[in-house]
Amino acid sequence: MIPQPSTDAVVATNLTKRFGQMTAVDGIDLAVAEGEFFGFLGPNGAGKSTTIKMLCGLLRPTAGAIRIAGYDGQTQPLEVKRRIGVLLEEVNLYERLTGREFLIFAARMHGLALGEARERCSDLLELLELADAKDKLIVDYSMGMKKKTAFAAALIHHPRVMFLDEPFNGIDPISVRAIRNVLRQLTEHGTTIFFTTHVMEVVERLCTRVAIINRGRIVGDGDLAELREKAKAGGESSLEDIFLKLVDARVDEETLSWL
Amino acid sequence: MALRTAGAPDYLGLLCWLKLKLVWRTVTRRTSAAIGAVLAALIFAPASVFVALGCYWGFHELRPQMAEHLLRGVLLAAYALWIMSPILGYAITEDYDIAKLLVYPLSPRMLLAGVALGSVVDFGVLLLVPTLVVVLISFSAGAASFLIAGFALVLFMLHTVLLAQAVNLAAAGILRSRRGRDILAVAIPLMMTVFYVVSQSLPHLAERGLAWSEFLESPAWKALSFLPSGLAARAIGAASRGVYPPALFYLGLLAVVSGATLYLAGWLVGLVYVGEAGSAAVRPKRERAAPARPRKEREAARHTWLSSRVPPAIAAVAEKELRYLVRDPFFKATIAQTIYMLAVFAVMLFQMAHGGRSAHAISGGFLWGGTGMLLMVQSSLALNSFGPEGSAASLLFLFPCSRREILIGKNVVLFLGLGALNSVIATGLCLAAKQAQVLPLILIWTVLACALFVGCGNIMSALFPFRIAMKGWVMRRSASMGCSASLAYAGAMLVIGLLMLPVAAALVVPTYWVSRLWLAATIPVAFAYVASIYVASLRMTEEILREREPEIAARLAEAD
Repeated sequence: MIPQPSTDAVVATNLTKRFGQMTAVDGIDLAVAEGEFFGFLGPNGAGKSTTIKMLCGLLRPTAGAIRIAGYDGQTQPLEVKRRIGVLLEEVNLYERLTGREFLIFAARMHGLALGEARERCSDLLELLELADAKDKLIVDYSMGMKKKTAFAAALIHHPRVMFLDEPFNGIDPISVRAIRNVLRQLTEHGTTIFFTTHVMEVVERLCTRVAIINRGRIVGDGDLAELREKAKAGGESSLEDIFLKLVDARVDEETLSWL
Repeated sequence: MALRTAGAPDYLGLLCWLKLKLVWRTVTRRTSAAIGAVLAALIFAPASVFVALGCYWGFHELRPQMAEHLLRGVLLAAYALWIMSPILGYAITEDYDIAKLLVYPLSPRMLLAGVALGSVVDFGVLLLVPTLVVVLISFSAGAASFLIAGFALVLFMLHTVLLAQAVNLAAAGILRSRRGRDILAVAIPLMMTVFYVVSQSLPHLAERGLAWSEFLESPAWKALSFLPSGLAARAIGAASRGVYPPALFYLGLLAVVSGATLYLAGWLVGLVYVGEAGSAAVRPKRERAAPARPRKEREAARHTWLSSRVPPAIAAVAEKELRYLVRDPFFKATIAQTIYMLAVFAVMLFQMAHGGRSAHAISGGFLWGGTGMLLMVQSSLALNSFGPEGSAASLLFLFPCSRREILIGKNVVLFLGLGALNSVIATGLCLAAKQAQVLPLILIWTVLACALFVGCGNIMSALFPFRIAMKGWVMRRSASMGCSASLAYAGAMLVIGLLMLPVAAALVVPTYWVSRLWLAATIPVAFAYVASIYVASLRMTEEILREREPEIAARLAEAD
């Protein structure tokens, strides 16, 4: 069932992506309401990143429709891009710019005035503990610093919808806490977070709703109680148990005999 | 399962297997790589045999003393190429990175032996084999001289391979650092420029009476002959003449040098073990002092000036492009290659003038054609403007600004950069050719041709994008730059050349064949013509981007 588009920040209908013979995303339907903290889970190769790339316009769907913040993903891509912030799993930055230069660049590409861009850039650099490295080239940053910079760039224009693919990978606990707080604050102000991770505890703690994708298909969608019901899991079962059941994971009890 | 006790692993065998496998995979991982390898073998293997045959002819036709000098020269060239290859970036491949092997229980000596043995299957080494065989055949007068020559060549090879690896390891930290690679990207083409100019000048120097006998007696040549290549040649030469005591002396000296090299290389591997050299090294980075305040203020003032006059997206893209123009080695390398081409032009000009042609006629043609040709050299910048973005193109296409603004931001910087560089070069050429009177026209031609190139480049950049990145000093293109794209590039060059003709005609015809008064009419028409092509290219490119952005981003994200 797809809720009314007017209240949904992200709507995907029959979204499909094929790469040659392989179907990476197989006709999925998604609807994420405004201000929702939406967790999108799945095993490796299930189609999470492909879905996110299609939703933010970086990959052309083979079939299906996308609406983001009320705009059509295929006919109004610039309107969509004005309203989204994206942090992809593989961080692609302009590595020959300094952290500060890059953030100001990103802000201005989203139409922010220079003064505003500088102000937000300073705030983000401070918050993410990048202030000391702000004048270093990004190419000299560690992977965690690059990820934080990419997160800051995705946030700097205060998007209405944020797509975050594995945002906490490689980031230190202090920054993880800071990012989590920012994300919470964003959802309180109506921003929708579309979020993937493999860390179930984070999803349990943050997300108001979760969808699980496996082999390109949605196998579960709802809050924790609804997913428990769908997986026919017990009342005390964790999200990890539900996830393993829904993706039909075969976790052998048998271990390596030669260990 | 019962605990199995294995014997000592055959590490040397495993290392050789790994080397062979990686070399094989490098060649066969893609059809284009396989075709490239076959083509390289088809071109270089006959060349290698040709060099060996040339050496054979020289060793047999020259006087024995001169033949030995030739041998010294041949071994010296091989030696220099081998030692230089890691610095040039050719040997920095995955299979050479011994730092990856440090996690396994291998002794430094074993690592070194594996690396030295593995080098035998390298393309450069294999190409040298015919020449080494010819040396062995040509300088063996009997069993004793055969043995000494064989032993000398083995020692020479061992020393050279070990030294190449030592250079590789010692330089790894520098070569793999960003700064090191940036410097090399510019330094190597400049070195090639110097090499080209010197190599082209040598025949003229020879014509003016450079005596080879004097050169062979010079202290420089004598000093070079005491390098390991010279020691090997001396030992081989002496043995072939039946003078064994000096042959054994030089062989002994070569053995000592090879032993010392083994020690040095072993020491370096040991250093890698404790993390003091090579790519595994972690060095604390020196904190850079905060930039002085006035610079910040200047920067802020520039921001305000620029941002108050142009739309924010154009200003942001232009500023980003400007920074990349200064910082990205790709741009520096292209400019260094322009200088290389300029040196080639200069040498050609000099040679033609030397050949008795009228300097005036030569320089006239060269000034117009040469300045146009500069743009062809710089085509990788204009015709593939999204190429250097690489995977960051997906980020660029995520921004909600109009694509026209992105294009204009990129074009402005490229046009100003290339226009300024080419104008300086054109001025230099005009002054050198004593044709100052055509300088204003040449400058107009340079600027218009540059604008036309940038405009047409927009369309090509959107239609045939391919990733381009610097690996060492070598520009690497992604696999998607296949045959069809290469053909399209050739076609695009032809079309751009044809589009340039009216501009050239507007300037050249009145200047040389009609009356200069006509320039008052033809120059504005040429400007209008180029402007209309540029505007049309913007519209077309915007349309193409609207249709193909995801595909372009995916293509630019492809690995090399």
